[in-house]
Amino acid sequence: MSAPPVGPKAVLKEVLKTKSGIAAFTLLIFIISLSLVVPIYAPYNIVKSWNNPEMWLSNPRCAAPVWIELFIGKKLPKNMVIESEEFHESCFIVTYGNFTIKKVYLDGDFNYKYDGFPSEFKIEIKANTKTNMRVDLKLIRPDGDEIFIIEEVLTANKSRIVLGSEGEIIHNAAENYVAEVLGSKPKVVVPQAVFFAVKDEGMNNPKTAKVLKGRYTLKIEATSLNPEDTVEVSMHIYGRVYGLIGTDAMRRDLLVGILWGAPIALAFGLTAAIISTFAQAILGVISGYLGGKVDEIIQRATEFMMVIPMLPIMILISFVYRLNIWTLLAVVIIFSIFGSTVKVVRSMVPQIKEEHYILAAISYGASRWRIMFRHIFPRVLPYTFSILALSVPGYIFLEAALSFLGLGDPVLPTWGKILGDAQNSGAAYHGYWWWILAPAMCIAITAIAFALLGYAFDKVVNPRLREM
Amino acid sequence: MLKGLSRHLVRRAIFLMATLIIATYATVLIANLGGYIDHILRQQIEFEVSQYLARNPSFKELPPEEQEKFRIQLIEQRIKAAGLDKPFIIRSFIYLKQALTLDLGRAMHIKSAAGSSRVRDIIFERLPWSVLLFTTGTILEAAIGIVIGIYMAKSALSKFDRLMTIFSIISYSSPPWFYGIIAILLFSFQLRVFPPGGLVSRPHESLITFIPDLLHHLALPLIVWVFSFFGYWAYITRNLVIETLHQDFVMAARAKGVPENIITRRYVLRPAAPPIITMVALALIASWTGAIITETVFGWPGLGRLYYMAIWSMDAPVLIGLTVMYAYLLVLTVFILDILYAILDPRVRIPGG
Repeated sequence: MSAPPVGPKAVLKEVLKTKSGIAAFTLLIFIISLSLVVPIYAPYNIVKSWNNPEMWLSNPRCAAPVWIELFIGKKLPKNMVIESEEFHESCFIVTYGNFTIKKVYLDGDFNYKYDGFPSEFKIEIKANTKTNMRVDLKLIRPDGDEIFIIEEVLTANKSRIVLGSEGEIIHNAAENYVAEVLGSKPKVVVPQAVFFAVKDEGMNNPKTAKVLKGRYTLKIEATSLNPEDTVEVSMHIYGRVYGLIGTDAMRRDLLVGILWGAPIALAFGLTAAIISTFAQAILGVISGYLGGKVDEIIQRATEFMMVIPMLPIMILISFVYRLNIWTLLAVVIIFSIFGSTVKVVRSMVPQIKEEHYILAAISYGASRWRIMFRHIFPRVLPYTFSILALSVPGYIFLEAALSFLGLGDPVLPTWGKILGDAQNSGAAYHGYWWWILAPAMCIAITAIAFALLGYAFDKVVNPRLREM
Repeated sequence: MLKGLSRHLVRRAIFLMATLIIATYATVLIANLGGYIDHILRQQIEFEVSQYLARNPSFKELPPEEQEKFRIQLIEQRIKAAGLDKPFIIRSFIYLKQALTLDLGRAMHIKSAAGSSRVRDIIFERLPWSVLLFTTGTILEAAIGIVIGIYMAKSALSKFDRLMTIFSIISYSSPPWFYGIIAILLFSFQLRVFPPGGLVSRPHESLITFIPDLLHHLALPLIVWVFSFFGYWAYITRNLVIETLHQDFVMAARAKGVPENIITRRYVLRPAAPPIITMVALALIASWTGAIITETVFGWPGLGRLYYMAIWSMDAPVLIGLTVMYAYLLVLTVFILDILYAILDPRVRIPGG
């Protein structure tokens, strides 16, 4: 048996020689690099914008990650925006005696070339008029058909209308169009399919309808009696895929939350693990070296804390006091000051106490505290590394569990919270797997990294494990 | 020697009783939000009285001072009837005494399926489901894990041993509810092999249809539970067995030429058994309380789910009842193990050991 390496640096060097140590560090570097990407990918106040729905209005709802196209071999729709500046404008002003008529024609072209229907779309018309203005809106399809959408008078008071694919106007337009093509009114209409579908029997059902690819034109005709009046239109077509990880039901880019969750999880797990493990190790040293009454008190307190059910009490406290993540961290640490590491370390102390260098220290008159902290604590330190690493996943999962139950930090996005949101929105039922798997994989990778690291430390400082 | 033993046991019993009392009192304080629930109850009574009087026509005919006097009198009566007139500190000790004597009282909001609001009825209605899932799971995972662990120890450093070790470490790093979420996504919604949750999918008249339905719902949480823990059992068993294999008496037995299977059974498993038995005992006790998050994920109507419901509805009597039951079971188990250890291992009796 080779002797265990002494000193933190030597231990780390040995750990990097084991396979599990290398694997652990690779995974850790991945998680840390996620944290480093945050300020580049989302250089804004993430916590504030995460909870602000306005921030995400232009994203599709529950969109899958872009890369699924590689697996299903289809081009799924991405977001398309036809801004008002992209519309081709022509206008006429006709004067009859003492009154003038202004006519504005706006044509917006877009090429729809995807293999699926958009998830929704939205058309916004804004009139800049002091009196009133009549607008007609229709969509010209690649097959030459016209879908009449709306004929509306906009006034100075009601100068803006937003037509969503969920709204009644678009719904009626789609229904009428299907009736016109098939001869009868359908029971259910899905406008975002009907508008972009090939004319056939299955066109009102998104499952059977085929996509009509090609050039679509959104046409506006506006009439006003005031030559200064203008009109603006924009169209927003929401896709089905978005970004690296997709979006959630609040249209939020999950990548932002996932990236932001990495430093939070690391900070939470590591802080809790480091403070509690060191506190327990110090208590173990004190308990083992001083003995007597102090030992008795520390041991009984440790046993008490080991017996009480930790998770239910943490759930209760989080529910009652609505902790944010940092007060939660403080509570977790307070509950972990006495724990099994106290016992592990205490069992090592008697043997170390008898060693010559300790006896030498006593003989030159070192104080008890100096012996404990300068001579004994550094000796047990390497043994605590594996305990420390192995305890990190537990703390990360504790935070995740509380967030999952809706008892986590009220504003901060964490992996557990994203997972909880997914659960509460029935993501599994609807098949939004990315919403579940992305945070789950991140938590799992972090947990596995620390578990492997702990195992590697254990192998290095407990050479018996290595030899066996 | 017997004197040392009984002194040790008395000390342990005193310590465990103190643990039980402190843990229960802490639960009483936290579950009542340090008296805040009393405040809510008092406000509720005031509101109810005002509502009751507002509907009473003869009350309106009284002069205003009389009305107010009558109202305050009625509120005080009701507060006294509900026992809310004493300060919370005193009441907290009454609660503690009731909890410790297992006089669990009535729930504030939660009712059992049969309609009873007695905490005891609510707990006993759900206990079988937690036991069915988690005790079965714990027995299975421990059995599978221990068998694999012994095999790993015997073939230490083989490919199987190494792979299994890594698997154990990785699988144990995530909790069962986490696997539950992924398993539900995969097996319930993508592959549609198992139902995503619940006890049964519809009410049943006869046991013949009830049992297969129940088993179908039981399968996924049970598999998940066993999957997430058996590696841990295997790894612990492996290390304990290997440690014993390196003891001098095993070497001596080998040198004597004792057959290998007798060495395993008599010289290795016997000394390695006590810590494993301790772990099995504690895991079984823990399994009776269910698992809060796993039961929530699978919609399993056991005690863990009840605990969660009790937290959300701030049902202090149910919370206290569950915690006390768990604390009693745990403390009793620890004490029984103490007795067994003290009898089996003389070193335990040395003070401070």
